[in-house]
Amino acid sequence: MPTQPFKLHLKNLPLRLTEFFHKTEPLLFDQRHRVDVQVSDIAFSVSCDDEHVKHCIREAHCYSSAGHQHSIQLVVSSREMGGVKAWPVWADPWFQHREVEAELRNTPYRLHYFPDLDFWQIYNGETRRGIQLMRAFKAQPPWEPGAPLRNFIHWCLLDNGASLVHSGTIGLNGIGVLLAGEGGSGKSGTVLSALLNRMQSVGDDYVAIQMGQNVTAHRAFNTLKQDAKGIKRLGVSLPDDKELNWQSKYMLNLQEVSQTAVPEAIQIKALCLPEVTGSDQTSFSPATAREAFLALAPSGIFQIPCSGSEMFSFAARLSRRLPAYRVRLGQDPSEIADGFRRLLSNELAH
Amino acid sequence: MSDHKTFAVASDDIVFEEFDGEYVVLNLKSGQYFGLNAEASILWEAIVSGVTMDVLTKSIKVSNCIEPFLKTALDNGLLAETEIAVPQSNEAIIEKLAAIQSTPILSPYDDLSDLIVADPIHDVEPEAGWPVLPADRKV
Repeated sequence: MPTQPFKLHLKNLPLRLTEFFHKTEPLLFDQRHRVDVQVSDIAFSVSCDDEHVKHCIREAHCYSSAGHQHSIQLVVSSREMGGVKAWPVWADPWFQHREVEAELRNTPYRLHYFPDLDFWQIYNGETRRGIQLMRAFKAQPPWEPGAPLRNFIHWCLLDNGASLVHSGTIGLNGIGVLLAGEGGSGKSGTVLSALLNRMQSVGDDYVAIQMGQNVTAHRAFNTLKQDAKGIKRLGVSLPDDKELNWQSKYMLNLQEVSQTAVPEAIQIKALCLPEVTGSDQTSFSPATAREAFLALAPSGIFQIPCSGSEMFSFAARLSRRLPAYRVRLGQDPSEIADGFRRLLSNELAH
Repeated sequence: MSDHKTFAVASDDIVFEEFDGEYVVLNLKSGQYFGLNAEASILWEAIVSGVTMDVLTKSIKVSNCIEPFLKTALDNGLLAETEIAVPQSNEAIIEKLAAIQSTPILSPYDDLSDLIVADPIHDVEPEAGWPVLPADRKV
């Protein structure tokens, strides 16, 4: 059966998405390959028609044997595999994420569309089912392989009172800090430096944050990123044929880099705003909640669609709850790690 | 401007949060962030809670400070005139308005637009790599 176009437009979008799920669900959720992923207390059962997709998801994610409270079903299907019977087509002259987010507010639906590649992610929070459609395995947005299913994971977390947050993490004995800041602030290099000096991390880019009695960061992805110069400076040895990603960065595996067991979660005690300053010594000074918020919120809100107002509010609550520090990074990776070790062992120990 | 005018947050695109008495406002449609100083935050709080222009004008002692604030907020789509708001007269907020002694400032965070276009993970000195800051950004 040939693939039929299924028109979507802003007008009546929730109704059309309901029809789309009715039309496609029975056909899609029984694909050849399956892979399980767990983030925080949410288990994702992913069905896909392409072995490459399965491999990519398995590499980037983890599955914990710990119990879960919520189960989500996702399907990842590509047109080249021939299993998609109805293909969405955006019928309005343009697609604007903010308009779509506003239209879907107070409905169970979330929608991301990347027109350049005809790449779709559609989620129904009521049935807890999501559909990702792409033309071919290689026709994914360049950031997707490093953090596959990121939008679905984030949307599911939001529906359960948690959120992905754009920050790195550093921990010691299960207690840690979030690292937030604009590009070039040194987040990933600091995380890698800490890992190489026997500290812990649950991620250098996006982590899942739960705010209950404590603030907890859960591992969402197994991947770390670092450029060639950073790799050299930190003394990490990589295979000669290791490929660079779309940002000309190497993708590393958190478990392979870490010198201690990688925890599933770290209790977060503070927000740190690193700055690459060229100082001799790493030093910490208090920052305001507003400064922490402005370091934490904008990039995540920009990068993850269909959740801007919720992320804004979540980042504000997180920033008000945690003490914040400006961190003037020193130049020696082991000295930087020692600085964070002292912070966690002294000021943040209780 | 008519004294009985009231204003409200322009749409669902406008979200705001308070940090120790100072608001940060985001226009989700434009992606632009705005910072309000403590005085502007009191004014914002009064306006979005439905305090009318005449009450604002009578309460604030600093001269000619409301119009510039409103112009910036209106020009950037943060506030809009509303006809259906029920005028509110909240004693606590009026006391805060009366205590304002310097100019309310509402200004965009222009530096955050750089963040949006930059590689948000690691833009560092391309030759030296982390942790070396690019030459044009050294402190």
